[in-house]
Amino acid sequence: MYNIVQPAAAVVRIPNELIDDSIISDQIFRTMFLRASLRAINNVTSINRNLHPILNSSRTRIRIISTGVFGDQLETQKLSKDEIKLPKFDRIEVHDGYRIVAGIVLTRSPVILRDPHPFEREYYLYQQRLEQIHAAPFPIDFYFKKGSVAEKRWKEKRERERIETLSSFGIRQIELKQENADEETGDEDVTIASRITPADVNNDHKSLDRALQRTLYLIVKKPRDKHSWQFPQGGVEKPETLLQTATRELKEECGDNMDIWFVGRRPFGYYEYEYPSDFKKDQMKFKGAKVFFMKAHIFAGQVKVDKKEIIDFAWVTKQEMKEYVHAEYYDAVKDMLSEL
Amino acid sequence: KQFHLYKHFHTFSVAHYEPHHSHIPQKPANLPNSLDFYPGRSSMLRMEEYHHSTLADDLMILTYRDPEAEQKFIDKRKKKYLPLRKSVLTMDTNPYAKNRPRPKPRGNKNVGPVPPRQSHRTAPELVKIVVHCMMKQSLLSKQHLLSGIMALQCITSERPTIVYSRTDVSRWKLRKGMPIGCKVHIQGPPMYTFLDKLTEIVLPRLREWQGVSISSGDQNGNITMGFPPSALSLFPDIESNYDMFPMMTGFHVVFHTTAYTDYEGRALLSGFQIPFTPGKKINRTF
Repeated sequence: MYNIVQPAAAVVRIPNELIDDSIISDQIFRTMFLRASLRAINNVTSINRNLHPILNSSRTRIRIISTGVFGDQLETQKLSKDEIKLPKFDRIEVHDGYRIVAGIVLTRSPVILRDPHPFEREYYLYQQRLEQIHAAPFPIDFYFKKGSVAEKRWKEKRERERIETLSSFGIRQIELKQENADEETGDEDVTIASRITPADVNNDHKSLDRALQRTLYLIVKKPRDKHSWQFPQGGVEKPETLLQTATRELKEECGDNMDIWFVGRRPFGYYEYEYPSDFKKDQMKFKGAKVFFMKAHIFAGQVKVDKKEIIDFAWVTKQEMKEYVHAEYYDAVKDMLSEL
Repeated sequence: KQFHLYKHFHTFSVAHYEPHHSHIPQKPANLPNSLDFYPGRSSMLRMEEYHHSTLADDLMILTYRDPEAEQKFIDKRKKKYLPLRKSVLTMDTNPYAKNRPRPKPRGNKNVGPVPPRQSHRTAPELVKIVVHCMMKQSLLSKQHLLSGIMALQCITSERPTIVYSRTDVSRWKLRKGMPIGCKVHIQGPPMYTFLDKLTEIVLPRLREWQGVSISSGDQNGNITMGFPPSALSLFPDIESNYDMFPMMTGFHVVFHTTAYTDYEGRALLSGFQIPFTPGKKINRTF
């Protein structure tokens, strides 16, 4: 059914010894879709006197460490003494003029069961009825001692239920049901919470209590006009692994106030894009960025925006993301996201 | 001389025809008016929905192997379960071997599964759970089997079958063919409800339980755990009428998964909130 196809030629193949190829599984395949822009790549020369020329491949060494899931030993390559002394912007990971970036897809999984389809509901009701009809008679003697209070209560309950089912055919009134209800709620202090929360009603996109049946994804807003909404991301600095970058960036951009778990040490999506010709990142010119998305789950807490890199955030479902995020970005990213 | 014309004729009462290879035998329809009717699922299953919505995606990421590691893993498994004839080693490329069954392995070794190429469909899944109860008391009297059978039936909602001994052990006065225990295989809805009960109610209440042993597993992703007799009383089905079970026995629970390594099986089960003891270092298994 699913044909695992080689990715389009537009995908940049990073040499194996430097990065594990995550281009295998069908789902990951679809995220490998690249839309490289047709703008001509400028000849970039180093502007800042302190920097090594970035596009000079003999000088830059790519050191993305994407470790195998089954590896307990992180195969971090050690930096030489000279390299450790380099200032921060010299430790940026670059490949072919593209900045290597770790993106974070922070998800809040569904909290409650999804609503069944009307047909599903009817099917289940039908099967329940069939079960009741075909079931062996309930062994009262096995479960209740003869003459006990529990046995008496059970028999009364049965009688009530019998009357209820008959009344549904219009034979008798359901007066006893209310008495029944009072008795039962007196025993237990359990109240069933509503499936629709106040956050749903108010359509509060910052709340984590919204859309309990769906998966919510965190998107953040950058202080710019175009392409402002995106997943949180940050450039990889030597000698960090992708996972380390992801945790650090999430802490910096979204605050330390969340209980988060990253799913393994491996990215599950990839997106390559080019910067506008006049764009400079940290006083350096790059061709663009290569983003490796790491999946993470949030269990508690909330985002705290740092107001410098990030000015706003939202927890949105896959469909709602279309309204926030640029169409190109959504196209590249949508296949990583869950339908439910 | 008489010439026996009918010497080579065989007579059958009924003409026997081999079914055509394209004939797919079908089970008789499961109709409510038949005696063997078994109703379908009557509700949504919480654990199953969780697996399909959240767990499976995460497991796919966690159990992913890059192409070199995958090839290494498959080669190692193929080497472990060697075929009978050398020609089978070239089965993938040999066109004459295509669509033919794999021959038996060489020597007296066990047959083992060779994992397929990974895809979104090969993420580990829970297939069935086997609950097995061995009762030594049944050697004294067969009546003691009943409590075990009833307990398993209450826990799993399926009728258990009796397990008969396969060997003679004179020390324990055990002879071949004696009923020694009971087991029940559960799949689908009863399996997920049993798993739900375990993880929500029973496991949290077990006393001095550190988790499932980290070394548990049959090297092919199937994990087993054992319960003491006190665990039976923690099940809500038994807790409610505790007096009807005079003899509490311990039992084993085997989780059968589609995983091909113990690591993946453990990943699946821990996703279902079954804790494992952090213990000794586990080597890479692939």
